[in-house]
Amino acid sequence: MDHVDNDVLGGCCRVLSIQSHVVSGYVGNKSATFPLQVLGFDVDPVNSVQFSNHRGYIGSKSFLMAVKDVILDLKKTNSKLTYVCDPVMGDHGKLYVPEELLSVYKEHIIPNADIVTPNQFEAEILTGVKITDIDSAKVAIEKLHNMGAKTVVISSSDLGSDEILIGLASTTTGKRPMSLRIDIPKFPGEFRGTGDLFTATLLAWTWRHPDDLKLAVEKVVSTMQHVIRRTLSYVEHLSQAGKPVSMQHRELRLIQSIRDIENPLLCITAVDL
Amino acid sequence: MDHVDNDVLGGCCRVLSIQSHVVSGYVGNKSATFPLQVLGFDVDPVNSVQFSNHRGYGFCQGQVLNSNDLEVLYKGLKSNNINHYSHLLTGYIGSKSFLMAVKDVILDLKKTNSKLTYVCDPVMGDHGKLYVPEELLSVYKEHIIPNADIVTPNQFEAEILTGVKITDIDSAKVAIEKLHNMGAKTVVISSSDLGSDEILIGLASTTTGKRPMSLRIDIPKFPGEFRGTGDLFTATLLAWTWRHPDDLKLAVEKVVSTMQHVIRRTLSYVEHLSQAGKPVSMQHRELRLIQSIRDIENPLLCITAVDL
Repeated sequence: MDHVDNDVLGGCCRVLSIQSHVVSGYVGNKSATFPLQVLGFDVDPVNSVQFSNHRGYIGSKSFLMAVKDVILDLKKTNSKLTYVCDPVMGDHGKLYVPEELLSVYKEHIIPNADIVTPNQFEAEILTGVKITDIDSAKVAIEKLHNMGAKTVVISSSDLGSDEILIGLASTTTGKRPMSLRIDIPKFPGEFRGTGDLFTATLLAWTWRHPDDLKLAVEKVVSTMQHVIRRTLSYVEHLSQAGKPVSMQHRELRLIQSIRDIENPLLCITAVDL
Repeated sequence: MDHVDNDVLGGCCRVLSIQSHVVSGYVGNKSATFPLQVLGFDVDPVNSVQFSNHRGYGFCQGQVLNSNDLEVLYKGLKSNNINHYSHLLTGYIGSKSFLMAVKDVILDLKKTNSKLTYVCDPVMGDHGKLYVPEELLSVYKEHIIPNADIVTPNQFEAEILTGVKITDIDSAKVAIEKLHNMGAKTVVISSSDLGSDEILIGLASTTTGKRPMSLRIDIPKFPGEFRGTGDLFTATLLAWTWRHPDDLKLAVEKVVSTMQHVIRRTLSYVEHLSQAGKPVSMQHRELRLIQSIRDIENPLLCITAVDL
């Protein structure tokens, strides 16, 4: 697969990525950078923190306001910039950043974002819409579009079952506005960094397929499936060999998944909503 | 090409890399990490600084890690029992206190895994000029080189570390021998002034493995300067010596071939812009690492090393 040679100044394929850095493990910029590079992007990582390994989320209003200034200046410098925003604030009903960040996201960040990837909880608090079924989810998505985000992907929700996680995607942009649902098989246990991997690969695949959100999302979710399956497989292998399984063993097997990242075999289908 | 699945605890394929981070461009950890990852290594980068870009630009702004910060990070890894590495990689270090803290990390890592391979690029200067504080030299001589398994000095660094003036191949061999005696099992003098306007002579020597060997490698020069090449060299040397533990010749040929492909691609891009009448900036001269992924993974050999 040839890598498209990119024009550096204001051209395609250059990402400024502002996320955390962990020395060991794969979350934040560690989770996002390698896949984007493998997919042909020059990545300029601004590491908001440098920690030895992952821990709870830290967010501060002052940092987010500084990020807002960066967004505005970048857009002034390149009006065609695509801002992909994962509005990380919490999950499963719980906020894990300071509450004051919510208004900053609503007033300054989301209106400037082109693609947003909230989970169900984040979509609810950003829009004030309680999501109980597909219809209320569609209302929340519509509100996010009205707030300014042209493409909205609710990366995970509690709609679904014990086995299936339902994701939703919608775009008002490009030649083909579309509204999709994607049923994703769940894996046992928790894996950190999956959201960061999701958003990074979504950036890459929506760029590669600007008029086909369906294909982009299928590739993203298929990538996730392969990476998580490989990681789980490794964990199970250790378990079966009678070895104790540590937190480090549960880190995403990103490096080992290079082929799946570059060219994911589709194992998921999205359907029109 | 299948990626060998690695066993995390004390197994192969996990590198702690202590180098600088630039947001934009490819030097330090930005130059070393992607190639190592593409070659199947888990890389744990400790960013000794975070700057917007390398110092060749007009402005260079950012944050610096001090020795205490390094201790805190290492302690974090140790407390979680995740300080098990197959390799340690270090490059440019700007202060004595930080280098002493790196020394402590080396010693503790080796205590944790006696089979750790420490790859050290003793970055101190080039072409007769020191660009770090002079006090670093004694730290490298007394504490760092004796604990290094592979060292990649340039000619100037080899001279100041050994006190041997290198004027020809024979004096270079004397310097290399001294570095072996100081403790480094594998020595690669990545660039020297021996050679000509067109050819740069590199030298490699190892006393380890099934096949101790002594090599010379004639490398075609490219016009102009490219930053980050030394960091790319040392990182790919780490990878290829691990893949070919008993064949330094093949490892070095792959490393130098990789360098040739990456630099050629970068130069090609610069020339293309030039010919199109576009102004060529410092940013345009950054190594085209991302675009060279295939060459990094599987470099077509375009260079031969010969026995010395």
